[in-house]
Amino acid sequence: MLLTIPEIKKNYIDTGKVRYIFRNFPLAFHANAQKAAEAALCAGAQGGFWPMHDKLFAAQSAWSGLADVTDAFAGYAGQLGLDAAAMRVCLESGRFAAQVALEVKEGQAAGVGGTPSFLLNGQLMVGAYPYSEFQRRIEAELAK
Amino acid sequence: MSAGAALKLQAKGLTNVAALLGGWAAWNQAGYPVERGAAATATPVSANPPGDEVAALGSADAPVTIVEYSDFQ
Repeated sequence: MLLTIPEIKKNYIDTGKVRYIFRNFPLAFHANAQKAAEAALCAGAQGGFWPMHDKLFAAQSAWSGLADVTDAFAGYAGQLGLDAAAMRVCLESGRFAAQVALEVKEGQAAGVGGTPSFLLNGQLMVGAYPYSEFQRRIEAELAK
Repeated sequence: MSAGAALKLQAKGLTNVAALLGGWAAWNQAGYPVERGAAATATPVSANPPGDEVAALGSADAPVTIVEYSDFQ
């Protein structure tokens, strides 16, 4: 959630109150979502998960309609100071395809059926919520 | 809900009913907020699946954990 994360990060993650984990849930009708998820994990293998995460969201309109995203994603890796050739190999080999599938399976087991969805201390939140709602729920958990 | 579902509810006498263009799927796809009842309460997921280390921010000891499930497209 590009719009929600900065405030959560500043007020809760950076202060040690929240651990924030991203898991992939590529939707089948988004043709390039699977490879985008793999690209984020490929970047993660190089220590660049979050920069690639931000880049993929920011550049979404540039790659979502491409027939083959390998060149674009390798290019993003290069722009981010990552190893573009390694990104290409990682995508072409499908190194993280199984992990993406595992994340989807775990999401489904937790009741996730669409994106974005969130589990806040195990409570399922489906949809895009404003920061204020995250804040309310986080504070409620902290008060327990 | 879809127009069909709305008509069925109206036929049963409910009056405060509205149809959504494109139905539930379109509402969800557009990213509008939805809430689910108790039936959809989360079941536990494994605490530390592979990938958490690279895709996690913040202290592992933090009292609140948020797991986001998203699609980049």
